[in-house]
Amino acid sequence: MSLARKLLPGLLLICIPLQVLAWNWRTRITLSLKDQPLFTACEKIEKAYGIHFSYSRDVVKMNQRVTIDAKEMSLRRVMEILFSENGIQYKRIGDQLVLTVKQSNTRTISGFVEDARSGEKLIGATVYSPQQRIGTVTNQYGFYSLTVPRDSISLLVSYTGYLSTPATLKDKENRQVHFKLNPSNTLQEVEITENLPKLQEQTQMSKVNLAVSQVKAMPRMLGEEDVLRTIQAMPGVSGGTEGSSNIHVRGGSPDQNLILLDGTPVYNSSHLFGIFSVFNPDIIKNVDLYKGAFPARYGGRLSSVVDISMKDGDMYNYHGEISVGLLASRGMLEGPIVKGKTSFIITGRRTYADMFLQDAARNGMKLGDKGSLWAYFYDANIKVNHIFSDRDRIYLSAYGGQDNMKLTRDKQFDSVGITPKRYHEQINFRLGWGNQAYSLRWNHIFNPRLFSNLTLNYSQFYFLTDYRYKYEALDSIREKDNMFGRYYSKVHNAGGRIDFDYRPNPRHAVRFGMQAISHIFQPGITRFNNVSDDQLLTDTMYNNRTSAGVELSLYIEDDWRIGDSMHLNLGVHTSGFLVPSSAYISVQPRLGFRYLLPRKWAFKISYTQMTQYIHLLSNSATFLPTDLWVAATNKVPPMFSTQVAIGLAKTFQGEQFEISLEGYKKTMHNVIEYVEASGNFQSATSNWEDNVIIGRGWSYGGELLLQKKKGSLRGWIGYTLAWSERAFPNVNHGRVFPYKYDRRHDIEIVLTQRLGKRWELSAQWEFATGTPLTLPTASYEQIVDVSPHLPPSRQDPSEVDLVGDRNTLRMQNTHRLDIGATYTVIRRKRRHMLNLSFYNVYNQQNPFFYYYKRNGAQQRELTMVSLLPILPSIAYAIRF
Amino acid sequence: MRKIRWIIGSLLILTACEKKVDITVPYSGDKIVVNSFVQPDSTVYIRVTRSQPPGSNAFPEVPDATVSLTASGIPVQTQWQVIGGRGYFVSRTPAAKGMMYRIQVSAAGLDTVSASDTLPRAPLLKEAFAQAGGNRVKFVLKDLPGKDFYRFRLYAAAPDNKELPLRRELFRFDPSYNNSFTDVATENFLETALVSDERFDGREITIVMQTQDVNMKDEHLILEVTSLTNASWQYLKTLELQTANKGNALVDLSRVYTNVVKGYGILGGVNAANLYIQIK
Repeated sequence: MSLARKLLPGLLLICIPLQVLAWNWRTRITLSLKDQPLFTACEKIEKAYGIHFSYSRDVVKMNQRVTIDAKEMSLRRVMEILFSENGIQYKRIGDQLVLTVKQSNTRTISGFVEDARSGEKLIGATVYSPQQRIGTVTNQYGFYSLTVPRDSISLLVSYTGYLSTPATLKDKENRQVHFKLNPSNTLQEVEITENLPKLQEQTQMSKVNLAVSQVKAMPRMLGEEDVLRTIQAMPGVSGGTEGSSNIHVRGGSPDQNLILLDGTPVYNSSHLFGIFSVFNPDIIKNVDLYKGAFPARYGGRLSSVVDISMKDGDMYNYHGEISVGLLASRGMLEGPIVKGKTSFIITGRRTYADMFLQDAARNGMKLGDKGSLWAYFYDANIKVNHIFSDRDRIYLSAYGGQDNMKLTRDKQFDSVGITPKRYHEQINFRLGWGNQAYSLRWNHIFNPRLFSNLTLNYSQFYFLTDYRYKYEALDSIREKDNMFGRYYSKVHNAGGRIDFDYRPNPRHAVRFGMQAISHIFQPGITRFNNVSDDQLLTDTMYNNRTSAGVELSLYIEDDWRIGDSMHLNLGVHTSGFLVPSSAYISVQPRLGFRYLLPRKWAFKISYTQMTQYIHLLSNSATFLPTDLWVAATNKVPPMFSTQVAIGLAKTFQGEQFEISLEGYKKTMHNVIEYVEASGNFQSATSNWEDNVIIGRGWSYGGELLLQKKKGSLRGWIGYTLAWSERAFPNVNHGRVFPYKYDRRHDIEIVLTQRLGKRWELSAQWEFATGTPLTLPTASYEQIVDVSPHLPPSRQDPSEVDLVGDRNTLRMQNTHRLDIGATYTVIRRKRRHMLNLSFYNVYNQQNPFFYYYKRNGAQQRELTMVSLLPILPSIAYAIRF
Repeated sequence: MRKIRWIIGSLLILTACEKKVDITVPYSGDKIVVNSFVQPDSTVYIRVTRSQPPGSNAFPEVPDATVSLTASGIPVQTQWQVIGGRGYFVSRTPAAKGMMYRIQVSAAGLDTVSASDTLPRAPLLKEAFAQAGGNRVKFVLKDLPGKDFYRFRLYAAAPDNKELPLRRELFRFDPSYNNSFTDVATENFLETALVSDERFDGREITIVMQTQDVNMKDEHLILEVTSLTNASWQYLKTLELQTANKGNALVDLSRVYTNVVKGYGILGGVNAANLYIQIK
């Protein structure tokens, strides 16, 4: 036997296992196919990599067409792409991949629901299987996933304002199906609104969804539509002081609201010291307010979450809108960059009162010919989104807004009062604040049951004031100043999060994810440079310190259908906060339970815990942009709250009406008050913690909301019965006292009525019992001088008012009616809209605050100040 | 910030409607009010009045009160005097530095009250200057290490007596020390500036005050810089805030500090130094 013959059997023995081991699941595969049958893919892999496939052509449908572009991808991933979604199971047996039909009784239909005309993704559209009576709703990105029995062949897709669309499925396989819905009435403008399932079909409670069409239909103040003002009209939400757009939710303070714009927190949500919100209604697609029962995916604030989604922009056509009001003008433009693939939307808004007051300001304030006075706010939004594939989509959104006051004087004077003196004065003074918020989001569909969203975001809020003062005496006097001062405070927030939406089967809807946020605080930095007669007096900075904190969180929640009548939403939000001096960990359970009672009433109960790691230092009567954000420390620990809610809810009469009744109790720990005497532009210096007192808060009550959501007459009636209390060791001798926005009763009635195709009328009436009031409990003489022989003050005489216990009195009750009418006409494909509104139509004098005012006889009288009388307004908009 | 809130508050008032209202406000009852600033080497003037229901602006004196004033435990005799139509308990001897002053006041039907304070060190001033036709007063303040509080005031002196203050002058203080950013834009001139030394502790600084009126040649100004104890500082600062914020909707009514036990008011130590400035 030759040597070769001797070796051959051995080589064969070696080669067989070598061939078997020539590939494994990590073998890198490169394969590119476009709309080719599956068997072609198998043939190519077999030829290129020696991987054999074994299957029965009668059983396994290998003529299904696939598209794949894999470069150096693992074999397992390639197999998943080729087979998993086509109902084919693969298994390695020896050196072969054996293909069989996946033995499953169900299949998963997934995809997006969108507006057929604009491509705008529809949030909360219902995808329903009439046969099985099961359904789902699209998520925040318009994505749905519905697992149904394999033999389900029909679906019904519906959405308010759109024609319900039946869909018949051709086969029994997993499918990605995108639905395009047409508006039901093309004469009416269709606003994209959330269209949640009936209340008895939602485990979520303590949530309010706002239709943007409703925001636009509300009576306006000074011609401006306002999302937060509309939220104020919901039970459980109070606006605080009259005219303010702040929101106080279930006894919480405004700093306890997490306001998200496309997933990015916005720290200060108001313009003009709280009169208008920063959200331009033209950009808003959807608004969700959570007052309690917080889903596990939210965290970081105690009292509410306002989740605002911006529109994506029309994928197919260009549109625009220009609106002119008494206070501000707005513009919006949207359209495709690449039709069907990429779209944009851009909006802007600015007030213009200052433009008309330039001459008056120049003369009245002696600003000089080069001087000016600007006082305005503006905001702008831009969003671009691009569809990479059926599985991948990216969104880039940005918001920027500012309130600014700029005064410039450049003038030569000839006198000081009545005394002749020539001098030249230059003043540049600026005061302003603003937000910036940016987010980049990437949607990816791993498979029909697993959707993900990756978000990177950045948010900033700042307050700034500065001056440059130059003074030079002319003629023979040497007198020259050059002064500069700046004060600013900032809070930055940069973060990333990834969220997964997993629908393993019809009984479970699982969401999970994680988040990391870096907070940076600069609470009041000042800088001065002062040169007088060429002598440098000051050149320094104060409180130039930056502190940081990192917040990490993980969450998971499962919306579990235990039975036809019983559902459970079980979740947990775990977070940690790292600051140089401390580390905090918080495990926050989130529980929701729903049980379907007879007559289709749903009984709901929820339990949630929330933790807030950042504090707002405020010593104002209301919340102002000058308030300072700081991180929790070991001396001032994070706030946390526990809330229990119980309720009944029902949608009835063909989904025309919704009613919900809820009771709640919330306890808050480590709420703070800043007791530093309010000086000029204060800073949170290294010892700010010494000026903080730490206490507790409680709020409890009941809320009733009856809504009519369909028909020409829509609106709601809301009633709130509430108590909100606080306790601090050194306030009111440590006793529990009412929180400053505690209102016992609050009634809101909002109605909108369409009259024909052109008119829409609206009315809003609200009544609220008075908020707590603190007035002096005695007055006494003051002193400022050592001796009575010194010359008296030039100022009015004054006295000391003794401030006793806090919030022992009540302001008078408030009520107000606002009305509005909008006339809409379409001419040459352009929609013209004229709105006329009256705020406080019967001119009710509601209290804003009380104080002792000196009358002509120098007697002091308790005086009530009302701020907002009847305010008519008119606004015109054209949409094209 | 206080000024910003004041400006906004004023704008709000301009657009607002006001009306007198009747609300039954609980009254915390009559208490003795003791008011006195004690200055070394000066007579002590003590006002004793009664507190009144909220909103009052006239406060009855208590001339029959029993006033017991001591300096580090040594009794200081006082006598009732009416000066300019107002009654004072006036010490027979001037206050002395380094003493702890304590007062106890009792009157029929009222709780007996007491208060105490020390006297602060004097401020160190030099090189005051004001030129004719100018709007500036310049001087040097030497601050010693440790926490100090100051009050700055300016007087026009009598033509025939440069040490006799005639009237109060209005001025703007350097914003570097009190953060008064908006004074520049609002042309806000004040009688008083209250400043702590947290920004110049232990240093010698040159301060320039901008006067509202033009300095007239050969006239005299009196610069008064007063050191304050912590109690005096807290009283004056909180009083300034309450006065400035009266009628301001954006600020809660602030409390005025008192160191009078079972009553109201202040017994505060001060130490004023004056510089007499001839305008050249």
